[in-house]
Amino acid sequence: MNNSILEINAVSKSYGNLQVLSNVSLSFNEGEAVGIVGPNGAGKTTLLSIINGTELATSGSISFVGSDITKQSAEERSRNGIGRSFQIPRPFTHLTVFENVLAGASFGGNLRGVAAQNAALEALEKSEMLQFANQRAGSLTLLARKRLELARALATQPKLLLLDEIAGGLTEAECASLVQTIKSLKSAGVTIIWIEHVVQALVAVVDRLICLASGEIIQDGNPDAVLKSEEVLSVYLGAGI
Amino acid sequence: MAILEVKNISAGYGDLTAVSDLSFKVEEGELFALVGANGAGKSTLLKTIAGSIRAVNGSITFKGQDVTKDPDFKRSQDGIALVPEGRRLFHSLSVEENLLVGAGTNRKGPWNLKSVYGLLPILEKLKDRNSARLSGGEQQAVAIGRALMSNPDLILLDEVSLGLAPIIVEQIYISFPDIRKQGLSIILVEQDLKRTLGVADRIGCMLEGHLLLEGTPANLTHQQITDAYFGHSVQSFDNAPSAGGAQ
Repeated sequence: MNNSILEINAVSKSYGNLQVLSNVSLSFNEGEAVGIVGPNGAGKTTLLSIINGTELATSGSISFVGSDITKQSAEERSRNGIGRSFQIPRPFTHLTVFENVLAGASFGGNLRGVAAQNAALEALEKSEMLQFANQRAGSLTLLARKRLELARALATQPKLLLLDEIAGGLTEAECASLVQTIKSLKSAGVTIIWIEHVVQALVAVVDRLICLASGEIIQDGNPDAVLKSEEVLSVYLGAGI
Repeated sequence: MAILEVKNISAGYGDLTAVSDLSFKVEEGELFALVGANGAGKSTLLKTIAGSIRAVNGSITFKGQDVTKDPDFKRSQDGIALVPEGRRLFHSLSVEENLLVGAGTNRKGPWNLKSVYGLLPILEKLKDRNSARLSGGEQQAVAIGRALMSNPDLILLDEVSLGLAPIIVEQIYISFPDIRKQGLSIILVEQDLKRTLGVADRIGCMLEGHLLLEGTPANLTHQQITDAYFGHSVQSFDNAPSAGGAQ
């Protein structure tokens, strides 16, 4: 199953004169689970934004299942199968959990009526949020907000799921249970790219680990080897870990 | 002497009671860590102490004075600083300007731009950057620096390491003894129990708005805390390499 699902070719991104990504090229295979680590400000979140279209690349190109998506909007990419969770969840606080996820299925997944409702229910079930379906999103705890973020992304029925620091701030028990959920998504064949500082959670799931620093890839490979590399220890993990 | 005394505090949002009849003390110079599942009421308790939400019942005494009815800005001038979960910077301002807002309490003490940059070198590199142009972890570092700039007597750190790279978390934890040498008291909310047990003088475990257990790291083990207060044993992560172990 070495079919490439996502190709990033020589992508750079600047905000004004601030260069965040420099000439990044990466290839991801279908069904692969890949972790991204790196120092704060390395460009990790920007890389996800370039992939899901919330930001456009300054130069370079991106193709997804064989089509060039470089100029596509986030809505188009979402409908084509790229789902994303955000670092700081911002649900519609006055809507219920179900309504939030239904919005994901309807607008992000381009589903209507019963199909949208079913997709929303399925996403709630997969993210273990069914019990909170009728609760207002504004009243959720951090763990539940993170799971809602996951459910919203899943409701778009993604082939490729992008996760941005979904485990941060969770207790070990909560984190372990979230890890199980993400593992089961991987088993179901969803390709996952996951940014996370909770390295233990990450390595429990991913087959491959990438370390970004100052907008460039400094390591890419087997998670164990990447975490033990001198470069990653010095810029990211630190000596005391 | 206790710098903070919380007596029979209840607080919440509308019909929801998040903190229920809770009492504890923090001694001067002490690092008191609060642990508990998400939804246990830890953040609500910190916000109640900082004054960003009002207690429904009970009293809060800070440095011998009843501050229960004082608004948050008054408590900040008195020396209570909160690093809130979710950062909340002034996005129209630069990093340095955000830090200077923290100094607006005009309190004297060891923290100024120079000492904050010494603690968090990442901020010096970013000082002229507009804070809207920061990554999540960089924003967290600014929020910590801004709280220190107010030269507080008591700092409330909610999820201090959220979004920070392990190497920066390490830096912050290494600096705790120095920060405390200045006499600063700390209430820390952190999900990494191993780290918490390593730095805390005392630990309080919260469940459903109550403080169920208080103790020192010497008389509480990781296992006791997780078993008793999360209701079950913690599953270990499969195949986690020993080099991992970040947060």
